[in-house]
Amino acid sequence: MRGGIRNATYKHAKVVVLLLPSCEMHSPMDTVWGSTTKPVSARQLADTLATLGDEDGTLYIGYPIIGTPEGAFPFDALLLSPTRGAIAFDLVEGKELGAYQERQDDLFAKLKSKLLQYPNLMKRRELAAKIEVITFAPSAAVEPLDDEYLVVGSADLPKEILKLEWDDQERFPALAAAIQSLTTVRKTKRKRSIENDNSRGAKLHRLNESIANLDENQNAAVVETVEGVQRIRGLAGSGKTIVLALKVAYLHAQNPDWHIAITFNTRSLKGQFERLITSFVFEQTSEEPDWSKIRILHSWGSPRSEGIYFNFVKSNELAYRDFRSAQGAFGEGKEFAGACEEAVLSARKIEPVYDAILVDEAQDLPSSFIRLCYSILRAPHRLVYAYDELQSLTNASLPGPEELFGSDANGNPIVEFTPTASGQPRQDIILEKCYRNSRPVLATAHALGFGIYREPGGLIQIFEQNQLWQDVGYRVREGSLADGEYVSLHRTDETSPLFLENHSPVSDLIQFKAFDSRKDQDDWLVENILRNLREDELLPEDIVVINPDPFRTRKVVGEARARLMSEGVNSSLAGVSTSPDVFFERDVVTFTGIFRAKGNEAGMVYIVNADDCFDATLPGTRAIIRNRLFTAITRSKAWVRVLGVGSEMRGLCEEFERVKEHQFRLDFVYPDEETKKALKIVNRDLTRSERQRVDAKVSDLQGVIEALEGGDVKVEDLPEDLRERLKAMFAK
Amino acid sequence: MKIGQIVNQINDIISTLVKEGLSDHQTFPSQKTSGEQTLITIGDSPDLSVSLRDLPYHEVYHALRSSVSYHIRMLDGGLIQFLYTFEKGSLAKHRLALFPSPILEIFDSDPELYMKDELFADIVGKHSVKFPVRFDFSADPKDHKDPDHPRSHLTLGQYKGCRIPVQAPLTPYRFIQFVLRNFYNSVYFSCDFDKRAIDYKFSDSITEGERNLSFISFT
Repeated sequence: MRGGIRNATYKHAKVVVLLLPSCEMHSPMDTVWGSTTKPVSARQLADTLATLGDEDGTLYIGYPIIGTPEGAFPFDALLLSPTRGAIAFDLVEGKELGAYQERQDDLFAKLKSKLLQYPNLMKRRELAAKIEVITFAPSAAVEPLDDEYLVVGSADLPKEILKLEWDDQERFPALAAAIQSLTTVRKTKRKRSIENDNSRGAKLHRLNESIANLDENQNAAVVETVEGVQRIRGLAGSGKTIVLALKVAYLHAQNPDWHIAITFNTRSLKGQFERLITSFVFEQTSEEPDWSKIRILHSWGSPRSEGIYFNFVKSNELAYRDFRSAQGAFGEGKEFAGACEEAVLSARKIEPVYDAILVDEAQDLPSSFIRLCYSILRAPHRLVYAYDELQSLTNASLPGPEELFGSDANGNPIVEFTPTASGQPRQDIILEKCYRNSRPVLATAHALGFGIYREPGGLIQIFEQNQLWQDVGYRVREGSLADGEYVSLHRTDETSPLFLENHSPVSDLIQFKAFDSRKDQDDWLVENILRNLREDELLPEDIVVINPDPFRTRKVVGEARARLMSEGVNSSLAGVSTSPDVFFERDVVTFTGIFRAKGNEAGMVYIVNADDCFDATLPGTRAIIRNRLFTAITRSKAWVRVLGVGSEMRGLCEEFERVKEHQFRLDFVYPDEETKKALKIVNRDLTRSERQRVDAKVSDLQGVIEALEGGDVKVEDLPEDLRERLKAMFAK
Repeated sequence: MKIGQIVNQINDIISTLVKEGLSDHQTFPSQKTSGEQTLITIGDSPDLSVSLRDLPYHEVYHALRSSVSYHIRMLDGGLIQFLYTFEKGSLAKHRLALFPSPILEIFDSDPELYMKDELFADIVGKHSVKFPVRFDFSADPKDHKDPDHPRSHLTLGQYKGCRIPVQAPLTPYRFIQFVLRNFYNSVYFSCDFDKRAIDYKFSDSITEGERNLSFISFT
């Protein structure tokens, strides 16, 4: 897996090489392929450096971009090497060398001034990092070398690189961090007044501070620019939104003329994108973003507020469908899918308007919307879509690219992901590190979501592709990840950083509590929220209360909200009336149903009425309710309390006990092909009304069986033919 | 009626609407006293003058909303204000208002959409016409012009000359009864204010001249 290699390149170079299959030729030289205006020379640079064999390092194409008083200053390429330092390249695409001395001086000065800002790269008053600048001109006739200014072609480049030496190599991690730090991703939340250094408030503050920089893999995901479709997958909390926002800033800085759109499903993301993009663009260009080039648009939109779909129907002079009208035309659960499909099919001539579109939360958007985005892109259709494979746990959220984009007239897929060759940008990126949920919290969410330790009954759903477990950051501890085999999966500190769990004992990170009545549950909830605010130094906006059943939330949280109010604690209920730009309002504890909780996070998460998520009479509903539990648990940045009532909640508590007994590992026998098939049928994608029809039929059947058992209907009353068919069906 | 009773009524209304899941966000009433004047206002009394200025309605709404100049934000975005001024212990002024959201569909047109918390409920193409509803009262003789400017009157929309005479100043219960019955009819009976609304009453302020026009009366 490329991501893993990339992460390990510097620290464990030798181990990585051993892990690689012996037949695969691999150069330790990694290339992060960004956006470039000099594709030919950049390609030749990458190819030439690849010939260096076991030379370690990362080559960045079209990166970094340094903000200067004159605006953005993009580098053609930069080689970051643990043994040679930072080598910036001035690429000459054609035959004319031009004023290369001036350009080299400029590159050197810009890079040096950037690195001078990092105290751990300084030795007293001098820069301790080694910087070199080389003009690489593969097509030009290169004159004999000038002593001061290196100008080389393909033939001489390796030789010149190998001549460079850096004797302060222990500073390499600091140098890498400086080059890779596109930005400091620090949230500007309200300042806390902390008195007790051990309070929850203090711990949360430290947690927020530690997630300040991008990791190397995230950084590469930002920079790597594909001339076509790119997919970014990752768990909740793996930084997809930030990566996308940075990507917009990066592409805008590199290509100020491009029309770039970023789109999403949850309205509250709009404000977040606006803030992130503004600050990122400013850091890279020292200028405000040009909002005539960057559009932050909701996927749907309405006459009051633009959106990708709304703009599409407007410019193509088609009829606009709002939610109700789409529901009437295409059915419940298929509203947006139907509207997009209809629009694309009825448009006569689609005018491309964008040079790049980035789609966040693609798992919550229909395939037809992704195709609509594709259709309004100019060639080469730079579409980046990020999604969380697991938001719905079943991997049916989005089909693969071949199916998603369909085929052309000759039956060839329009979009196909090819395995990444060395020196090419990755089309398919996985962010496997989770920076939101600690290991015990995330593993509990997975164990309960899949029903790993459910008794009786066992698994509720499973990944069809076994490999996905590794993609989302699990490692095989024992056994093997094969159909019908025992496997023990766990998360390591590589994919679930320790700082997320070290702040509190495991028994405090996640708790399950069963109560005898709703009133007892509300009492406990209110009492604990009051303690959080009065003793634990948490702010009201650190707390979110989630009710998993989306349809009854309004009613069932009323009592607890009223009780808090009588104690002087205000709350809000996340709903349609919530401002499009914010999820958390100031000074209030947020109550929310599961749909609106998606895409948001909080330090302290209370899940109420979790007994709703234990079991369902209908097998097909089980996965749905367990997914809700999964989503609710994974909203937590630090602590989770799962509360509920009665025997079902006690059942859930017992299941959690088993997760603990297994030390938050997932130990189970992987289902074989047949079991997988059965699970797939049960969990097939049904709309709400289809699901209701199935429910009604099953309950009809239940009535018939009860009538037979009770003697109201005798078996003999059934027509012969019906009896035979029943017999045949169950004989299978 | 005493100041304390008014505050208690507002608190009771907020608590009832929260329990029923009709209020998405709310602000507690606060009292400000200067000299002989006491105001019942909103939290730390934000700038309320915006609602009076000559602005397009959607700007008025968004200004009120973003400055949290409301006691209750209903589930369809309707903003409700209860503002009272007392002088020397007796009622001098009130402004009771409902500002519906200009963007969202009104609750009664599709209650289920709201109660079930449909994620895309804000994707609305055609909009019903929205207008603010205001009950104003002033005991100041300077504000009174019989019958053109009644002491207690109802104003619909932003019509300058719309001052429908009202028999007396309204208590918070009376006002919320009016709002819920007329604009949130489908859930009215889950939080019935009929009984509470007749408990207290301000003395009549209507004149003979005003009685000769169409006016709003209650017992």
